[in-house]
Amino acid sequence: MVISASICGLLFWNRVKAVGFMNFRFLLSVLALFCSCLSFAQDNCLVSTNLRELMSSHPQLDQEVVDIKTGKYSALLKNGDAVLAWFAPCELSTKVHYLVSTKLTDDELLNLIKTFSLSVLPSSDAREKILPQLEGLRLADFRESLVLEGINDGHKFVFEDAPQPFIKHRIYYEWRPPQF
Amino acid sequence: MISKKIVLVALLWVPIIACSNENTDNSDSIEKVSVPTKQKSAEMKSVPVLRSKINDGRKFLLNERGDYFVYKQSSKGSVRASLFSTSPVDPSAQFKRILWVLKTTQAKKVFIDMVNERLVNSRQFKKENFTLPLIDMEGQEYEFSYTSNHERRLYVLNYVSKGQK
Repeated sequence: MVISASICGLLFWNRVKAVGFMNFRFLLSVLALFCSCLSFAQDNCLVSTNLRELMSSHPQLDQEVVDIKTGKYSALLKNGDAVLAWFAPCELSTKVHYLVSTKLTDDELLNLIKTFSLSVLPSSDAREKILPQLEGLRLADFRESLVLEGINDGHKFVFEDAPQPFIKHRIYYEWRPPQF
Repeated sequence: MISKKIVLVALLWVPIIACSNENTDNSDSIEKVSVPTKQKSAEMKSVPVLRSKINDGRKFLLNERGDYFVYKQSSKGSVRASLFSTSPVDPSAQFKRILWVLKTTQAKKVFIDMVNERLVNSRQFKKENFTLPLIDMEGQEYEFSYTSNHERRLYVLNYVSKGQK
């Protein structure tokens, strides 16, 4: 891609030198057409959210399924817990569920929320901003939806008990993109 | 002069074509990348693969679409199962998912045939939330239910089979 672009650039410059100004305009319009075709060919969305393999380095990881096209990422841990994430392919949005399959104490859950937030927060800047805010929070604070302020975006955390059969607890994370 | 222009235009198109080919190649290979850790892909293809078993008899797996499936079978033959997804399910896919759930939980063939017959074009599948109770020839009760949460993108299909009394 880069090589072909540079070949085009070289050709383009040689032609400009050789054929003068009138043809320069023609070449410029051809180049504009070329660029627009290229951007159309790549994708039809103005924005998209990068898919991140959230649990790849988790020591308990058992199985992972990644689908870039639909923005779905799923991971199964050896203890039966699962992480189901959606990274919107045509907008800015991230939604992640951590489904806890075994009953845990409040302290264990608070720890889990912290380690989970380490893997879901999108950048080291966000982690620096959000992690101190998580300190000192009780489990009850997460039961009502809690939106923490990032640099110019929002990070929502929700904790629920037994929302579905088989699932003892659920932690939900949502990234709220910057509002312009 | 004109022929020079044509040659140049043709040259400009070469990378476009090359790039578009590159894109399709990529999307094909990336589209569904199932990454089993430790166990290799040959095993992944034999769907379904049960990954984890917890002491109380629950079994867990991710299917090839990345949906999370949990089920439990009691010794009396009753079954409970849930299929969690982060993408909404269209009506025709819903029917296939129900059959997949039944096959994975090793439902009786007679019941699978009955579901095939009765639910293939069910209007219920068009709803965002539904409950579908069924009774087979032997009077055994079953229930499928589906709940959608668009705001959080969580779609859950539940299945209960009461088993022998």
